[in-house]
Amino acid sequence: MARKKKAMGDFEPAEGVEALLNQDRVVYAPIVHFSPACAWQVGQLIRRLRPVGVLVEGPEDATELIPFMVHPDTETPLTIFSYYVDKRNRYGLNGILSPNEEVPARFRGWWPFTDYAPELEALRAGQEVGAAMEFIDVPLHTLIDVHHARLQRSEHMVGDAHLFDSAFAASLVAKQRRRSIREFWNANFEVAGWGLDEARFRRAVMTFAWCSRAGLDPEQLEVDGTLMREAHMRYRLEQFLKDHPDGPVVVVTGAFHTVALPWTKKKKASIRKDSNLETMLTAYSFRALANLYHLNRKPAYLQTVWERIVGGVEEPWSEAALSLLLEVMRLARDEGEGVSTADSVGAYNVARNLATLRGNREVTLEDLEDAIQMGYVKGDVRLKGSSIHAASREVLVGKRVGSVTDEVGQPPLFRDYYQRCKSNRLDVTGELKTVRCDVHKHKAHQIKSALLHQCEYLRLPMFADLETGTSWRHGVARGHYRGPDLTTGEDMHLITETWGVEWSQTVDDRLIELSDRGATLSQVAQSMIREEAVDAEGNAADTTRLLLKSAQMMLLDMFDELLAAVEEAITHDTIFINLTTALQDFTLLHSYRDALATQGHQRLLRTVLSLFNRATLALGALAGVPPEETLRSLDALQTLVRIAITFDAVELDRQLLVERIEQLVSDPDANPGIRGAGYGILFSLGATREKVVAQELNGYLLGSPERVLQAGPFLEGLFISSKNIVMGSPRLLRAINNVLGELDWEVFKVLLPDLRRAFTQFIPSEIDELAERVSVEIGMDEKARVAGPPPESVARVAAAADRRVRDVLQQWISP
Amino acid sequence: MSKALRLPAERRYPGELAALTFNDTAPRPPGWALSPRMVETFILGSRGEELEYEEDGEAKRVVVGKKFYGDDILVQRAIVTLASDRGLLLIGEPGTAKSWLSEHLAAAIAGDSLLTIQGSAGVTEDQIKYSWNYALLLAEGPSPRSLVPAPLYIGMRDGKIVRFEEITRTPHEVQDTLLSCMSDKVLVVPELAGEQGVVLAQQGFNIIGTANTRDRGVNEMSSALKRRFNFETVPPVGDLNEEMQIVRGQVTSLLEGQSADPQSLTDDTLELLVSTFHEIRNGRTTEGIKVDRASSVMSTAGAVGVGLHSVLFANFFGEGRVEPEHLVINMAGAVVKDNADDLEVLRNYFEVAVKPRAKKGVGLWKAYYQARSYLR
Repeated sequence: MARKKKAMGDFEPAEGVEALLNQDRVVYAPIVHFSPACAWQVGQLIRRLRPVGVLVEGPEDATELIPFMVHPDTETPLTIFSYYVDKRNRYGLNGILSPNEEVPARFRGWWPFTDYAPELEALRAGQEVGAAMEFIDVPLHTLIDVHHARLQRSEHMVGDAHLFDSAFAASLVAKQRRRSIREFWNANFEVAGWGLDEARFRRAVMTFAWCSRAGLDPEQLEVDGTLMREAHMRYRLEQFLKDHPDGPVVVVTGAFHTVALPWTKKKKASIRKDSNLETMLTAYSFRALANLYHLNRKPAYLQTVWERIVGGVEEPWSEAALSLLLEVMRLARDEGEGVSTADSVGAYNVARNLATLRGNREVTLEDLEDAIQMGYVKGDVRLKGSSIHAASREVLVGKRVGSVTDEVGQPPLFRDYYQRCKSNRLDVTGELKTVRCDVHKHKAHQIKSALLHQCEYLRLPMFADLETGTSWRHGVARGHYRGPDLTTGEDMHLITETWGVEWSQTVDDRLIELSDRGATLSQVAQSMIREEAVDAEGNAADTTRLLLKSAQMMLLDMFDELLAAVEEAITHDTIFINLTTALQDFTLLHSYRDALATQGHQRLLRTVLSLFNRATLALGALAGVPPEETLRSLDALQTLVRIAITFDAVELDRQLLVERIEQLVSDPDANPGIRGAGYGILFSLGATREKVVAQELNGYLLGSPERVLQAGPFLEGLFISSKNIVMGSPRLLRAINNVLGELDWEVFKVLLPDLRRAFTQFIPSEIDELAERVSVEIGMDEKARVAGPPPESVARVAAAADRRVRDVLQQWISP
Repeated sequence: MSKALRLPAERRYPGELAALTFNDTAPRPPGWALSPRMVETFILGSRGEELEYEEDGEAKRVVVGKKFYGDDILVQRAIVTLASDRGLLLIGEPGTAKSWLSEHLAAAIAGDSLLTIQGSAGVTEDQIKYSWNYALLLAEGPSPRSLVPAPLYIGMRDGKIVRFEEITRTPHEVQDTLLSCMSDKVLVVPELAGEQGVVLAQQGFNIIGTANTRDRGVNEMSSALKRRFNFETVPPVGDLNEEMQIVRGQVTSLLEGQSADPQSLTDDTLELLVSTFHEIRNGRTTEGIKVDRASSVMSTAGAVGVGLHSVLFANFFGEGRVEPEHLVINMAGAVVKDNADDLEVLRNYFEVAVKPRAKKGVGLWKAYYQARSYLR
């Protein structure tokens, strides 16, 4: 007697598929996610069969959301969004997927739905026939061990990787000379399959999935949790059959799972009740959906096809291709591309002919995209194709945004955002608005400014360029804001803040992404600042910048925490530039304290004092600064001196500063630029005399050849730090002139490039003034200087000198 | 056997074309010798499958070889364009097999790849359309007998593919000669009266143009003419192994009938040659190290040239086997065209890419590195 077949491996594919199709009570509906053909077929199946139950692959904790998904007021796209905040470090990834162990790792999962998603169509059909409906897959946190932790990723989304990544799939691609398994699928199952008899379609999909699965290593399926999920889905199915003893049940799962389910032993997954897991239903957008799958999917294309399938159009794929070709043409024309109707006719003919050549029943996505390129791009596709490709992407991805019935309730972050927009009178209709905030005068403006800074920091796509009106989508543009920028120190002369605000529907997508971080924008911003603070630990400049940011965003709760972090950083950070940058930021914070969320005035001042002292003490390190760092260091040094002179809210130890600079310049081997600047500062503070400066310059010029080369940087440092003093001090000028005037000609030639560079610190009018003074100094006659053309004898000498210089230079170039 | 230096594609592969015709059951666009599927097979090969056919009552078998390496989808798009009412314009860097593809497409579709106009600044309208036999013209006046048809005339009259090489080298106004022929499919000979003065394009007629993107010329094509073409960009070969196969195949083909043995270029030596062209073109070695790009194209055709010359050099002046030094000797001329800095690029390549491989003692890389002294 033949052994009873209990596992997939016991069957030949055709035999196994027959067995699958003939299960008692259970009707398996294999699907591929986001497949219009599968959606159409599963809808037809359920409406014909009128089962008692429809069980769908999806997180079981979302079952209670099904009534809202199929609610008449709900419009696709939408998504089940699940997140888990690992406050107890259960998965050991705090500090790996988060900045440190104190910051919990966050794990997220998306299950998006469109009209053409087979899962949603199954639920809609199930509702129509009055079936009981359930999601039967494990919830997000049960996947963390096998997915997120194993791959060290914080995100998860549904897909068909196993089905399409198999050796069998690859062999089909090669056999039909397709570019990818997606192209193969589109041609053979989508276009050719949607109109098939429903049983024949299921048989074909099952056979494909069976052969794909047969070649995979079961160990891999064990490791990635596939087997655990299937055992759990089987368990849910058994439970359902027990609870509903009569009538057929339709099981809608990814085809890869379908072929294994009948032979899978039921086993309930170990699912912990955990308050750190949240699962919600929210609206989604086509753009976000395409981004989630790295633009691999074209939601608007599939939606167009779906609408034609549902509308009973005879050739839905080809008709959709035609209408989208025309849309791409229109958009390309709007962008200034010369695409004509004749081009569209040609492109459509190409699409149809490509379909025929490739053996496709109708025009597929690949035929359409090839036709767009061939028909619309007039030139080298690498140079001329970008705007057509952009138009094509925009049309095929689409802008549709979903909405969820009010009955489901909004996530708290959404409520907070919209309530605050309303109370601050920020437009959320999508109209471009210019918003002005006078943060020094009105408390209400401070609050509005804080909200806008929070939105900007959280990269909510609600800003537009003030000049061009271009929407601000990816958090990189700066044109949406004009006003003082505390974090960069730019435009500090401006008093009011001006924002270009243009709310877009994709704000909601970003809010979903941020939902796991807190219930309010402030909480989310705090959570992100805290993460940044971990990276900035020990760096006085970076920590201070975060303090400034949090002050701008009025995150009052964070002020003490961040100030403590800065105080801690001050004790560890010995880098002069960091300390002076932090000092500068603190003086800004102090002067803007009326407009910012700051606390503890005295503590602020104490921090300023500490920073000044630490920076002054760290000044000695500048002696060894490499040449390429000289300018940055000089900048920081000048900042320190400026603050020492101008900041008077607390008494800064200027004498200490002078002593440290004296110590710095006393090192003859110190960076010459820094020394020059040091002497300039000392001279401007009255701590040294011009004679000493001239002597130092002379010391370089009379030294070894190496030392001579340092004279240029020395002068440059001197001019940078005390240009005005040099201009205003005839004695110092005379001293410098004397030293340079006595230089040996050969030495002067070598020094010339550096000298020229040093003198670029002066603007042309200053150079003129310097020349005038020096000319007086050397007794040159004023009149002679401005008199008409030089006499012939002088011109001859000049011309000869010119020729000589040209010859010498020529020899240098080609000896 | 013909002593022609190079035979056109339809005469090089008569067996393959006969087999494809014999086995062709798919519908053919009007005027085509083969169905699109078979044209595709002619260009991309039958992937080892033997096709049976009969010739002079005798059963024969042939495997259709792959003739174009690179993007298979590009070939499909090109074929489909030719079946439509639009011309095909193949554009790309020099040496990317545009003319090669154009020739083979014409051979498969029309059985004739010789209706070719070679674009240049000196091309005139009568070299494209028709001219006159002046002796007859003087004797008889304008008549069909005194008319000398040019490729476009013949292509339209006989329903064949006309190849227009380097179309954008041709003056703007001469290019526009094609406009009415491509849109109205009519060529008017005003000197002849009545029906004799009108050539109606027959089914199967179309135009394949080629243009180099380096020549700035594509920009000089009128918008009206651009609209009558579908553009297809032919990129350089992206895969090193495919490029090696191309160079091997081309060198072998070019040496047909010569005493020099193409096998004297061993796979190891061929790898040196193709890697050098491939890596300098991409600006990156296979190990991911950045190298300078040359201002010249470093095309596959250029590599074929160096391969061919090296084989000839080795056979005439060496021991018959191509050594790495033979490659280097012939390479400088291929790389350095109009910019002397390219020699420096090649020298740097030897230091950056060849030297580390030489040190590891991989294959012939050491000998190749030692031969760098020939780069003068």
